[in-house]
Amino acid sequence: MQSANEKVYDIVNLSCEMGGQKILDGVSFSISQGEFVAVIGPNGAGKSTLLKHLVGVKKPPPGTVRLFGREINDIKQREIALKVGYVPQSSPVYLPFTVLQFVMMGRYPHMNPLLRPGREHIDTSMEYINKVGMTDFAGRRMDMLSGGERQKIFIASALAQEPEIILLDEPTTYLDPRHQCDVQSILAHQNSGNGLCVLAVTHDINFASRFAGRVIALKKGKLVFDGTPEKIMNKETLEGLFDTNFDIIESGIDGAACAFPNRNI
Amino acid sequence: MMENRKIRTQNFVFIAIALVVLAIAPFIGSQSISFADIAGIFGGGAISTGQRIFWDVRMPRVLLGFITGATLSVCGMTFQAMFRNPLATPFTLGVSGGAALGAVIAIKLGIATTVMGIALPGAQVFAFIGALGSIVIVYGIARAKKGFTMATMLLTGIAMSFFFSASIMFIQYLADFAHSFSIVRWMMGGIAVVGYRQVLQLAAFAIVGVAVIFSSRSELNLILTGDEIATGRGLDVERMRKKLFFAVSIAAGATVAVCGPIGFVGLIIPHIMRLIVGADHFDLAPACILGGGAFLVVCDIVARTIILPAEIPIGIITSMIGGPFFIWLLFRHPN
Repeated sequence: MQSANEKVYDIVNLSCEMGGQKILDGVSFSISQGEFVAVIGPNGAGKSTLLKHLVGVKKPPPGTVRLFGREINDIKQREIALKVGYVPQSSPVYLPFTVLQFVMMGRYPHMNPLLRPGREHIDTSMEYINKVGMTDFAGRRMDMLSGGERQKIFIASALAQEPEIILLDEPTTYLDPRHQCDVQSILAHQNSGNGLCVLAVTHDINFASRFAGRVIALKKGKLVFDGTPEKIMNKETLEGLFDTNFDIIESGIDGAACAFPNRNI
Repeated sequence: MMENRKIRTQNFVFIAIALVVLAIAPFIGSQSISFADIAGIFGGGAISTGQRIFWDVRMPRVLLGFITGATLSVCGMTFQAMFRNPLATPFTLGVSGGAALGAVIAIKLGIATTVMGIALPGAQVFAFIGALGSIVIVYGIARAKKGFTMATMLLTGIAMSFFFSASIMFIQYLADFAHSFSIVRWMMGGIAVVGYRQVLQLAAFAIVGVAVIFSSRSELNLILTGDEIATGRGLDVERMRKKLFFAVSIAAGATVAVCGPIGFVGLIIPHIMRLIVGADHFDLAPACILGGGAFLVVCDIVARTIILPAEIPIGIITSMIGGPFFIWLLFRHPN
């Protein structure tokens, strides 16, 4: 049914208001299969709200969001979960489940909810725990993990849904450098190896430019940039977007541009 | 898998404990009863006092205790998961208070309801309406307020509980002596003086509610991970919440209507069971049913034997046994 060039998401004129304030203001873009898209922008630009509208946590106005050609409000939540994996920014501190139990919840859209998850779901879940390099942690309790370990398990759980696209809200914020690298390479691997579409909201401009094939920038609810990483790594563009000064430095290793915010130039 | 075998053993132990408690409980009481006494009923002949006490007094009481304990535990477990709050129970959220007010109104007015030609006990139906009504009010108020938090909801629930109990006192104050007496008696709670009629009345409602909760074990696990993750995994959280509200209202409402408000069981049993079997609702739900049922029956045995021939209200016993046991478990358990 899905043609090769069918859009994963088609977003047309998506707006959202909360308490009389425009959070999203006429945002339009589409995502094709296999893309790795980074969404950047200052705090309060509407990035998280955008993701929430794409997964059904918030209901978008009718006719604004289509998932594989279908109006998203007409699709059952369980069916959305077969297509879309979601890693939100915040999660409850108290998570009284083991890593395996938690990852297995990603199998929910695939299983009969009346029955205890069977052997095949345990195996699939272990496979994804293995893919994020956390096999030894399968029996640990979620609320005993460090922030970085937790984030990898959240990603494993979303991957266990075996979706076509994964949406991540600031997946590397609060992580130490090693875990940032781990998360980045897990996502890059899933994207290039398995053709998983990735849409990641991030404040890490260098992560965005290095790993994403396309960068979208939001400011005050409006889409202000949609293009290649090379184009966003431009002093004027970044300064206009974030209202602060930037140094653009060439990496000594591969010559890629790196951006560093700098207040006092 | 190791874990599976451990769980199976645990389930077996729970079932065994529940059966033993159910089998022994009717023999214990101020009047001692032997096997010969109860066996007599199958051999014909004159019915002895022992037989009568065993089958007509103690058996329905044990069954009622078990169903009540199981229902209250499962309802508490459900609310604790739904609100991700260890203090959330039908009591703290005003559901029991609403049910109590409904039941008292029915008692005061002497209402018997008929639904589709079937006569239903007025107290149950009104308790259910009261329970559901209080949920709608508490949830509605908490949601209408900006920055909806679980704390707002709990505080609203507690405030509503006070309002409901004041309303009950008001009705009682206006009532004549006979009504007032039956209201007071009912408000004391407990599972004394019952026949099979009450057992059936409770079971009919409780089974519906508990069955809905039991069929939502995957979803309860998901809800415990937070609304956003649960939605991402494919759960329509809002719809599931409404379904569970309905289930808890019908089940907890029915226990309140029949037994009066018995607190504590719904709070403490789910916590104790969580410490023993973990938070996975596939293990926790059956553990709450069996453990909660057995717990209330044991408490009732203590209540009717500790100071013979007097009977202590069961609420006192549940708190006196459960409280210290819970603290002991908290300290013993590494997590």
